[in-house]
Amino acid sequence: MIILGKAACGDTNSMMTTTTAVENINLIQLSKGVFDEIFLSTKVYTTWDGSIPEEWDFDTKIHALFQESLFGGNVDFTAESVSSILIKKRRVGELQWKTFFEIPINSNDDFNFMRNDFYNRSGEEYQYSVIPTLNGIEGDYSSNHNTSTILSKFDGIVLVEKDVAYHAILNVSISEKRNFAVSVLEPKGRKKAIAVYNGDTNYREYDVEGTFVKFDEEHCNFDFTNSRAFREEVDDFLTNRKPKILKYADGRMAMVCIVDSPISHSNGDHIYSIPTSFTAAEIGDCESINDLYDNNFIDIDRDVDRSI
Amino acid sequence: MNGVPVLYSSTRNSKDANLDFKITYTWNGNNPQQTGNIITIYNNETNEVAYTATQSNYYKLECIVPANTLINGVLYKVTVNVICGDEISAPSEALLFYCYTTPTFGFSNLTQDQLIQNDSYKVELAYSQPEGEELEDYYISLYSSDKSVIFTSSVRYNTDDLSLSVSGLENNTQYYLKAFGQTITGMQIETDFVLVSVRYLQPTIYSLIELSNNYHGGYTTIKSNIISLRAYVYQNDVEIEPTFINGELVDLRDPTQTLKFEDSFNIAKDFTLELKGCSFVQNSAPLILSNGKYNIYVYYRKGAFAGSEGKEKAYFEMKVVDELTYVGISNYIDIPADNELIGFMLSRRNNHYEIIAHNYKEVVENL
Repeated sequence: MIILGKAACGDTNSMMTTTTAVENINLIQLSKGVFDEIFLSTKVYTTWDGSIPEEWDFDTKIHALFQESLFGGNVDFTAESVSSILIKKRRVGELQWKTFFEIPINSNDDFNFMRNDFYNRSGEEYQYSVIPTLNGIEGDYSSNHNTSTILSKFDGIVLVEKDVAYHAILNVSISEKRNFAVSVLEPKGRKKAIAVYNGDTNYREYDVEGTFVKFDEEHCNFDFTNSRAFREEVDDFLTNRKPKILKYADGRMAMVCIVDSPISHSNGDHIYSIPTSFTAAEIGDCESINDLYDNNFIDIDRDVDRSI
Repeated sequence: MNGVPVLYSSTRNSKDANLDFKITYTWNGNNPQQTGNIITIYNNETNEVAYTATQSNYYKLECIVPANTLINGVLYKVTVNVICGDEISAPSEALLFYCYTTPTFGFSNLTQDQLIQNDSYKVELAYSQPEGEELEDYYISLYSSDKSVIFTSSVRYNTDDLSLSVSGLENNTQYYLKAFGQTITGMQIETDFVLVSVRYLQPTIYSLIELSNNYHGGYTTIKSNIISLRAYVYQNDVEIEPTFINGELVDLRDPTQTLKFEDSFNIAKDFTLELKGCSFVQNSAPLILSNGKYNIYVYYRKGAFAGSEGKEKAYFEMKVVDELTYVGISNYIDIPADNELIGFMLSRRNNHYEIIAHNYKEVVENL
């Protein structure tokens, strides 16, 4: 029952209530009092003993303590006091952090970012950290909760360039050899040969084979009907003369270039299942921030070391 | 006899005259074996012989200079002759070196067995040398508890600020730290090993970044959980500096002042809001939530009702106003003093609201 625009049954003891919808709240206003604390969460509590949660969780949206500041977020900085956010990474057990991404901050909306990191080995645990910077000076490494750990895991082989990755799960095989510079001399008057190690060449070479077919994550299905077009897309990718990161499910990872033309396709066991094979030679250290930057895998040279 | 001894270039490094030190050389004489050597040290300024000694030495290509023979702060030059039986070689080419007192070099903010309660630590060093010899460069090494090197910093040449940060220290682990340095004249110095223990509060599961492994894509997704939000206080729509009480509460008793959180957050549907404060003005709305078009008000009210057994009580009333108006009231609480903390929880589930009041019975001092 509604009288003069008010729900007469609106008391807590009413049998029913009239629902009203005020959605997408984006303004909170406090006035006419002294305020100690305000907390806002998207979790719904139905009982209350007066206690306010101290820890942030994924549902917390605002928690302001008004302790000499008016910050209500989970960090004590705003877009005005931060020029960028760095994403640093290290393998669990390693000491030094390496910077992989820098997110420029111009407004508070820029704090809401997402990045994909393709440069992780399978089966390894990685730790990530976010660090604010102001005019190039890094903030605190260990403020509250700025690190998190994850196990990287995937199947098959993955070939990566910056922001592009092709994944083969079916019919995958990889063989590896290590090339280094040696020549064997067989001089006159000597029964045994002499090995001469000139040069420092020492790199891996991979013979890779796999069927590249697009995987439809939503339906957990391979898209075989469009496999020819996708295979040609992969061929273009393989022959674009750019360095790539080659990763395998067993944890191997290398910075490579595709060598030994041609890229070949053998007859598969099915008209749509045609494997692609190619040879890749290691051209850099995939763990080195210098090599990742020089070969255009990362955009930030903050940790690049040019000392000799 | 052929062959003239050649002094090692390390001879140029400064020495501490208060300690024994060695002068080393190489010698490629054609005689099978040396039988001794002669060291002569001159004061470089006066060219007077400050020390000379003939030592028999069959094996080692070195001369020992005993402690307290020379004087610190003086520049010397040294030559060496090799003795082979009855023959004496020509003297080596002279090399200059300073004598300086060994500097004091150590950690100024670390003591043995110090507890570090963080995963990074800014190490500070102190250096002093009585004759004013300056430090050329320094670096530090971090060792595990079995003294194997984990990390060595780059060499620092800015010796005005003797500090550097060690980061990535693991929780519940012991480390040794040691610093190495070199003076301008090449004296090598180092600190003792300092044992430190690292123990800090482990971060909870909640983090500013959310990581997920993409099994079919072969990559890791990094998603930000950073919520950067700051309120502003306005007086007649002009931003002003807020007034804090005891550094813990914000004072908005002046009716012309309003605190606003706006932008950078959005509550689409369900929520819980908890608020704690005092000195609320009767029949005013200490809290207003808005989506720009419709508002939710929470009023502070007092009154004597049948539900409060006729006694005057305090309560909060919420009013949700869109095209219709929905009103709900909280439980009753004892009337608080002006400086007594009270609060309420307002929650919404599927557009059904609930409001609960609470009297903390805590008093704010200096209000």
